[in-house]
Amino acid sequence: MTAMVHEKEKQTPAQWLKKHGSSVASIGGLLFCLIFFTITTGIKGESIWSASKLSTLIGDVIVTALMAVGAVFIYSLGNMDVSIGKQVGLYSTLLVLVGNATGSLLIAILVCLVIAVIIGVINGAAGELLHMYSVISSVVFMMVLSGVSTIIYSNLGTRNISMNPGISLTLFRQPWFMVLVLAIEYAVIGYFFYFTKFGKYARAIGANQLATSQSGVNIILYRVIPYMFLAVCLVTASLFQMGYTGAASDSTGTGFEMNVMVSLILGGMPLKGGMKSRLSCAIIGSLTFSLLAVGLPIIGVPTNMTFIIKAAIFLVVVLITCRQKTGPLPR
Amino acid sequence: MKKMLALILTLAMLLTAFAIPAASAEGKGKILYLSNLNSGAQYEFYVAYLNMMAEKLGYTVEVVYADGYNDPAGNLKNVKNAYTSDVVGLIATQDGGLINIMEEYPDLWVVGFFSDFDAVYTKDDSGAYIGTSAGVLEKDHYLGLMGDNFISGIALGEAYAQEVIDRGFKRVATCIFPAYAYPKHTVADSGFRAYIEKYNETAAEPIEVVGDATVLNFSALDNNTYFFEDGHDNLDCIVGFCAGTTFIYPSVLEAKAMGICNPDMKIITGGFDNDPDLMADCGDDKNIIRLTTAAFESIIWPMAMIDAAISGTMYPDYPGNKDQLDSGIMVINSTEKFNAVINNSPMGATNNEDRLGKALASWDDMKDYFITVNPDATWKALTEYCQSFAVEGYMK
Repeated sequence: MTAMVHEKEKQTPAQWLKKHGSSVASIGGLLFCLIFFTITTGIKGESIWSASKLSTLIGDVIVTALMAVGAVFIYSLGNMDVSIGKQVGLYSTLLVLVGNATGSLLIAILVCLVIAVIIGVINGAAGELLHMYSVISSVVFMMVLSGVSTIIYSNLGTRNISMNPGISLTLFRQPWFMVLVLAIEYAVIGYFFYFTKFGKYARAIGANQLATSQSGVNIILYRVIPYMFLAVCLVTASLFQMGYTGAASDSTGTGFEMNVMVSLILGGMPLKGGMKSRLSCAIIGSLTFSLLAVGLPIIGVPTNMTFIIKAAIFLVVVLITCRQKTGPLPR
Repeated sequence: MKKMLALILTLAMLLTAFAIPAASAEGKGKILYLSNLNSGAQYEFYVAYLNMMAEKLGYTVEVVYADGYNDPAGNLKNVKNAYTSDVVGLIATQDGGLINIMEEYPDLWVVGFFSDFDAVYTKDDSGAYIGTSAGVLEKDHYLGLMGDNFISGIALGEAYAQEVIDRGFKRVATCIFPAYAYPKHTVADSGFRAYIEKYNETAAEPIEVVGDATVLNFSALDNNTYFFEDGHDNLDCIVGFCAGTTFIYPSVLEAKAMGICNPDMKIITGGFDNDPDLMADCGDDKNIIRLTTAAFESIIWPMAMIDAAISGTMYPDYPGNKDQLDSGIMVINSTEKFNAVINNSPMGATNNEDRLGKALASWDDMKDYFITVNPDATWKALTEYCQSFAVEGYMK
């Protein structure tokens, strides 16, 4: 113990920075965006801190953040789920359809949760049972759910469906409620991620699956459970996604898996997973991503340029946080 | 540490470099253009033309990219992100989430352009509007829609059928997008078939429409199967109510190269593409013999409408019923017309000066249709003017 403290004391700033470079880059990036947009939007006579812009920011960040918090569990395994977007699309659609059919949002949520958990179990177990990379099963789900969505909307004869006005969704458009739900989700997932064996084993599997297995951990079980956490987070995100407009479409959720991945990387999440995985990556990355989306138009950056700037920032962050000598990609 | 600092400073410089000066405080405000296009000749022209008109009228224009899939939440989010305190109007080319945008910003004037707005104008059997954004029709700040060429699917189908008859084709087939996404295509297809059927009643040699319409699920015509299906190997023409330049033309080229279809088969379709190779293959003796698209200059209509509304001087004869309107229609169906569009229209221009110079209407031509410029201007005259633009204008 004394030796450890002594070693910590001996750490030079350069060593500390090398060890915590990823965190410094992600938090630094967020702080930089906050300061930069606070100053520059002020020059333009606007404010990123105005009630309307804060509301826009929270509305922009909420769905991605809710998904990303759940996805941290999956990324900590060293896995990746590319069916996230299609799942959100399906759950949003089901929330509208079942909600309209039964007149109850609660029943619709329960239906979505059941389906989400089933998908999660298959997604989590398939990789280990079938001896393939877990991302493959999520690719299969992405394609299957895309087909299901097409069938649903073809049969409905429309691209858009909206919730019956009798079911109030006002709550899901309130910024305070968005923040509250995100805080609760963060606290609950954080508890499981940091203080229970579910999170510890997930990170351990990401760090070294063989060693974890030889320590007596049931790999299949502890690979499946993170997907069930993700399932709950995705249904929660779908509620806000659908509640935002009270509608769903055949394209709802398209590309969301990329938003989650970009947010996590911007937040400093190690793509290999493992013990360095942090839940805060989800919030930091989502906020940075949304700050850019909301802030850049205010300071007069043309829309076509915002993509270039986002890409440049993403590239810089990746260069700082994600460079690995071997195996940087999730499985 | 130095590297990190350098990177952060570089980012700061990058961001600042792209920032442009704020709109003049003396201006009339900012108009958002929710664009379904983000590149190409049409996009470049619309942006340049809108900016020119806005400058003359005292506004600024900012382009907002619409959601790539017309998703309601995506469009709402994009508009909210771009919204600043000086925004006064929205020209929308997509309708997903339009009702949510108008509920979020009740003082925003909104006008539609270059789209069918099915989410607004879809009707049930009783004629009641049932689209997810149909609620905008009840809002004073919604000013109506000038759509994408023919609003009526029947009219579009009949126009294509007449082209088939005029060309003397005897075996044709049709392609559409799924009815749930593009209901007009299904209506156009039935209009096409009815017109051909009527023609066949008196024709010496009837026209055969081979099979049902092929539904392209937003993917290219599959030439591994399509041309091996009964009757498709010997077609005179494929009529594409969908975006045939993207979804039919490449497959036809491949099929011809493989020798699995009629080598003289032609394509009739809609839309515009300024890919030089594709445009070089348009004309009487080429693969694409007809393109139908909205007249580019019709975008004067939404600008004039939104200017009138923002200024509080709406046209006295504005009917307020917000019915869909045809745009000007470009029927490009001869080599001469294709050449005129390529060489004399804004679609063939390479810079904004050239684009504006080649437009069928300069500011001096159009200004008297703006009620803020000419108090005697009427909605009827404005609408007829914007519907009058045709490809023949580029041939003078």
